[in-house]
Amino acid sequence: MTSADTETTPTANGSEIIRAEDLKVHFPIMAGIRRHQVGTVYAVDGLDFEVQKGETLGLVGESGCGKSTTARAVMRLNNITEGKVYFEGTDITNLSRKAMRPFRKRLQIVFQDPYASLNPRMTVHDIIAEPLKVHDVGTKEERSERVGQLLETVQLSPEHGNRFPHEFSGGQRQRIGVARALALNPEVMILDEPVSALDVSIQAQVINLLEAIQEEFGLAYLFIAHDLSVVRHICDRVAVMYLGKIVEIGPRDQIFEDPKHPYTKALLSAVPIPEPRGREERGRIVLEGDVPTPVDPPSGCRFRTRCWMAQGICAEEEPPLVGDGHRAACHFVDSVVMPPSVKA
Amino acid sequence: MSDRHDPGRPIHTKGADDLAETEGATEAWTELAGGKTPPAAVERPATDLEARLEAELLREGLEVEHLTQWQLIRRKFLQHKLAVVSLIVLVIIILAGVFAGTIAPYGFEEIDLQNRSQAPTLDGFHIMGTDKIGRDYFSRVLFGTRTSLIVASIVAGVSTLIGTVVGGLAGYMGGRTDNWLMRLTDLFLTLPGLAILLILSAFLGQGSPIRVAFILAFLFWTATARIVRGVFLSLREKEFVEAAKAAGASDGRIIFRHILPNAMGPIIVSMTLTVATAILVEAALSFLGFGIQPPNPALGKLIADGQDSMTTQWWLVTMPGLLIVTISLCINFIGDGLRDALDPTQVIS
Repeated sequence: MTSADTETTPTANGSEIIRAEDLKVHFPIMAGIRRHQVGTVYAVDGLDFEVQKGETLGLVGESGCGKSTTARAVMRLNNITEGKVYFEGTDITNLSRKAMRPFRKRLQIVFQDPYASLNPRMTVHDIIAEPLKVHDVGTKEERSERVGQLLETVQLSPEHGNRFPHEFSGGQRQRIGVARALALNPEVMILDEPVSALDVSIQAQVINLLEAIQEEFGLAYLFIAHDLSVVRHICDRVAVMYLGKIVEIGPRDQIFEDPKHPYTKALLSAVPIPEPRGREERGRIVLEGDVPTPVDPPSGCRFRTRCWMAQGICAEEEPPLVGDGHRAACHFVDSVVMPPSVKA
Repeated sequence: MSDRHDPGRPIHTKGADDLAETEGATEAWTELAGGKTPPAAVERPATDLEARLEAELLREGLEVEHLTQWQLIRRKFLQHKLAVVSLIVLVIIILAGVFAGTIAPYGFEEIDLQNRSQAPTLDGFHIMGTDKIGRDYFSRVLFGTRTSLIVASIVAGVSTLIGTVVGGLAGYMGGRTDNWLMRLTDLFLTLPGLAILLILSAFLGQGSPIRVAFILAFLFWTATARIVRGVFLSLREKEFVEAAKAAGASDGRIIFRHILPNAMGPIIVSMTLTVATAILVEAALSFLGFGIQPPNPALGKLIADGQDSMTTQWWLVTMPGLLIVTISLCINFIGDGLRDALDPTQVIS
């Protein structure tokens, strides 16, 4: 380590690669001619999670709950208001741009929109070679060769390098985005809804590719999605977010088979079933009302305004994440029942 | 910090078939669909037939044309007929201006009182006639073109440069920098242009076309700055810029490789508009007596001088007027062609 501002915490677990501690990202709302602050968007408000080497952590939640903000904060593309992000035990929260560079090599991101994430004026070759060039890796010829390999890795042909992004389909573009993220041989890849902009048939293709790549290179994924079936397919562990907080986190099977938090239960009950038969019988929980605004989140438990279990304590005290391995943030974590309107 | 990257390290790749088979696309689907049998239509997800077919064709050498970006741009520009014709015409006009001294049959100050106010005639090769003190109008127009082109290109170049730098900085940096730079721009924008021009040219001395050009440039950059700022502001938020940041790219690289190329369209258009306006404003300035000083001819000045006898001696206004129109049109068409050629998403069949 060269810079003094990178300190290593003694608590760092050997196999842990990313850890967020009480991560908060708040955005000020400015108004008036003098641009004074009139409010705050509590986009991400105290997240604790870690990603182990080689695993896939899924981050799910509905639109606007702060999933993408979390991704950007971990990538240091957003300012972090409070809390810490550790990369292999090194605090990267306040690293300068220069000090952050070596970590950027090891931490890459794939964006949601394959149409917006590729520069329309650059050839595919230049797009994929850019991270290599930025980090001054290899000679021009070596980089070209590497780009060819990467294109093959994502099942495109090296000849595609001379073309421009608009000549490709959505799925192909997303694979170009994956190739770019892979260029520097990262250890962690943040996938910010990598398939939600794609057709369903193409989704499976990209998901399979991502799995193959993970196996091949031993990557850790932070997989952000709102599609639960995709998450169930690819993730080892899942964190469920609601209004800037994690309400439940745990191994995939436990989350899907035995959800503890009322919100997780409701979320899972909303997964569409392809078979029309049996649709009526399953217990679909329909939540009332809308997600409260992150500008003025409810006191105590944030889900209480829509929760059928809510009682006095929920408004007063914020429930901590409790449990071991499979943790949920609910005052009634052991006694959550289905709402009366639903036949269990 | 050890360099983890090893460009020589081969990456084992699976073929498309391989992957679809081993990963069990169908199986994946079954799982995705929650344990139900997938409908027949999605039993085998598309493995990008198109791409594979193409790759196949490429391998067989059926399509081996590799063009660099500049070759592509040149080819696309050449397909834009109007732009090419305009370029040819403009080059001829520019050459005529540059070599005015050699081409002109007379000097621009050569007075011939015997042949005053002649209509265009081949007699004595006054193909554009003569003015009221008998100077050959063709020669004067040639020298005028030279002056106007110098003025126009300096104005366009300098004002586009200032505008792009100011607007680009404001748009890219945002926040306080943006605020200050834009207030400065507003200040320039609210200045009564003509009055400032008159004062400046009175103070700085008149006559020299280059001086006039610089004065114009310092008043003209605001429009470009506003346009460029807007474009930068929107491009800055694009995901491909975020991707570059995530890769660790420097500000310079982000600006010059990612934002500026995508902003070229509006910049070129505003530049072509500036050229035309510059010629006209220079004319207005000369008309008011504060621009290019006699006996130096400039196209605008020629029109201004000829204006009082427009009804009787049509050529005095028409000839330089035609040139101004031609130059403006040519530059606009070339700008169009350039803009389209630089945009890879524009396909010209």
